[in-house]
Amino acid sequence: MSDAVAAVRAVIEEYVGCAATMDFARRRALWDADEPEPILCPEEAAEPLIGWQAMDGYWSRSRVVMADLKAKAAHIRITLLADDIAWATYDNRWIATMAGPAAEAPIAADVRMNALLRKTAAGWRYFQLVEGPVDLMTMARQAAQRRAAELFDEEI
Amino acid sequence: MSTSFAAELAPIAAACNAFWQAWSARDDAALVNLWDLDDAAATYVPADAPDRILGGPAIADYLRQRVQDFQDIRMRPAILKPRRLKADLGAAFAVLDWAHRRRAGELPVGGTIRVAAVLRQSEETWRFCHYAEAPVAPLVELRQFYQRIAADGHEAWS
Repeated sequence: MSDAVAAVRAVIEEYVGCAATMDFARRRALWDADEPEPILCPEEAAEPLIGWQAMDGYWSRSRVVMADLKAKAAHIRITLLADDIAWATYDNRWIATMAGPAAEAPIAADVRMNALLRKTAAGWRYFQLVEGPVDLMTMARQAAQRRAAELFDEEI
Repeated sequence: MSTSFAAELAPIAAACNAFWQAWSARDDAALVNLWDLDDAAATYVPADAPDRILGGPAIADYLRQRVQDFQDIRMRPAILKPRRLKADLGAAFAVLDWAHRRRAGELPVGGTIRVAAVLRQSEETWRFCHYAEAPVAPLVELRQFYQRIAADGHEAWS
């Protein structure tokens, strides 16, 4: 693994690890502060978040709507597109407990993360991150397969 | 947007639009031709499968098979944000409405996805090396569906 790939991987792992403390300020610090139009597209956001103001609002709300959040990354693939630009895809399993009187059992999902990072004076930093779950029909099939596996006593 | 800025981004936007038009035309040759097939690290993240497709040849096979799988395909971009990263390197973020019909007589299905793409220029042509389809979370899509039914109300229902 090259030094650059290792450095990008370390930033990704730190970014994902921020979930444990819901440290969204640290997550923001792992974005390129000089990027004029960062794009963050969380899977649960009906509209993409384009620009710092939209992203800051999202992170502020996230701190309030969730009581607890855990995340883990796997299958991290990093491609250096140039000396200072990287494309990374990785799987992210998040587990969240929502806050407030409607809080229920934790929910979780697996999301494919698609990131662009740039090497800056502060290190590698995100400037675009698009979260991609499988679509509704595929998830419905996965849910049905999980139920069927119970009856057939099979592992999925 | 300045003229030079627009000119810098126009070829990237054109490649994206050509890709979606090729889907709508079910033109598999055009779809494949818009990919850098020599890129062993190329990735395609489909919305309807959990695994990524890796490498130009596997992506070409996937594109050809998808064209065969559907009788009608429609792709319509709602938002397109191209970026120039280097002289020969670009990226695009898009919001894309899609619909397809497997066979004549079947009702089509469709939805909206977000797209993250990376493109490279070689020999004057911009081609994709990474493309990720990113739907909204199924939980959110279901909630939106319930909300649309609620918006219909009882008046048109019986």
